[in-house]
Amino acid sequence: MPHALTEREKEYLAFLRDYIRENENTPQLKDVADHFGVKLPSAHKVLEALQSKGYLIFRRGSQSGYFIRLAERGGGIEKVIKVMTLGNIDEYGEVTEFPSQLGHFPVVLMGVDENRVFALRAIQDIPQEKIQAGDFLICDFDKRPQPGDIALLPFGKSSNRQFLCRIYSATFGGSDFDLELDNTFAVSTYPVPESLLDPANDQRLAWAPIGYSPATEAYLIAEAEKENAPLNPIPPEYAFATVLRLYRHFFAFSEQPIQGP
Amino acid sequence: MAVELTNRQKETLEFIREYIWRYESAPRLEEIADHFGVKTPTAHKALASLREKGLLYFGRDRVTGFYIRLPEYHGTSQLPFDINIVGKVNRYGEVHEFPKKTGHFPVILPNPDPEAIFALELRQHITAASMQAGDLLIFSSTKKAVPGDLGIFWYGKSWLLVSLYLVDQDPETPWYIMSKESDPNAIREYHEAGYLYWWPLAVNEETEAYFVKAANQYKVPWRPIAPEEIAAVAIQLERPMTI
Repeated sequence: MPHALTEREKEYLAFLRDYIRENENTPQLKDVADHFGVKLPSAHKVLEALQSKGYLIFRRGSQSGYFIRLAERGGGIEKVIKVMTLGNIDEYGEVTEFPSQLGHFPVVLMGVDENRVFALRAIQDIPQEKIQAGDFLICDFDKRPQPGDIALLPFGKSSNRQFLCRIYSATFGGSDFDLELDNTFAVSTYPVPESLLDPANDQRLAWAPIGYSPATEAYLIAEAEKENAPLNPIPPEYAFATVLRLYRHFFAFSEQPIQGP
Repeated sequence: MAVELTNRQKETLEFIREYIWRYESAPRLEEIADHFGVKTPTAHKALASLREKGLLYFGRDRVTGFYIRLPEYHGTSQLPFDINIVGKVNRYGEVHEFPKKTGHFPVILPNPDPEAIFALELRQHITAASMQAGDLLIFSSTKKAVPGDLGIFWYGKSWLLVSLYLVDQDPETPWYIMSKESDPNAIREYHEAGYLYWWPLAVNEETEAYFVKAANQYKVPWRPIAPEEIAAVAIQLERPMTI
């Protein structure tokens, strides 16, 4: 819900948004502190306040290192929305029975367009993404994916199939831009041919189906060949929708009438 | 429901709506007062009158400061309410800094009892339970624990997230193997008394050694526990994903 912000907090938020827009990547704590000419603990304090007010999340990940992620429309008007469940997700991250009305449940979201938000239900576990059968994923047609997001992507131009995919940065813009790490990660996560990670590609995002693992690799590659689906980085506008949130209702509770069908 | 508003109330509402739209944050009380050229107590009065009519909600949170909630409803009549984040969970499912409020967020739950509902934030992944850092776990302290639930109880070292089972559900559970009370008669008695098997939520090959060590060090009761010993039961998990 909207919290009041101090001028300093507003400046930090504006800086983070600009930085992410320009670089498709979040700054390090040091970059933030340097920009405002303060010491690390001071910058940390402001970020902490913004975190507790719901504008961002930041922490040090064991694999990803330090990261800051901005909440989409963190201070927007809070809306209570009836979200329709429009499809299922299998263990490969493929969306099935889409679009069909499988039920609905109420959620609170910030500043979204209620006609552009829908839910998908996992019908199998996807351990790589810590998603369990029964989980609901709330998706937004209007949200442009950022690296780190999960987005609903078409599988090739000619097929009618969609997969939920993790988005990685493959953008090559400014000269002082170091995305080597992200690209290596994308390649090791999903076998994107190196030739397709062309540094000349502007505004491209690498992707991998969320169900990708050594166990599912053969299946996914075979399907890609069958559907003639290229594996190269895509422009962000190709994404149909981006996942905003996951809901899990626990076993004994799910008998209560909280959601359809 | 039609509500009659004075001009000042309408203007105040419009100002707040526009401010939130433009700045993605709530105006501070002083900003509202400045805009209308009044003192803050007057602005506060205007807000209070709007709150009375149910058109907005505002408050000052000790942790997160002043906030204004201006909810809109689309196809549902359910009301969100504020839930407090009061602790952090590590990769073993241990609850730290509990109860210490670190934030709050709106949720919709059927028949919630605001006094009994709280949330914990995961600070590390719990792979065994498909949970990840950043997940928010919502608990009820009044819901009675039943087999299949995820509960918390004091295990001698800290509060711990545990999975709960029927005592006679699965004689092959690792608990049974570790238990010194594997006597069938004792098991039957526990079962009849409505006790529950428990097992750390986070236990897997990687974390097992940690729990065995903690069990010895803190004299953890490796026996079935009574439902009353479960302080709270998880009812929902929320994972903010975009960002």
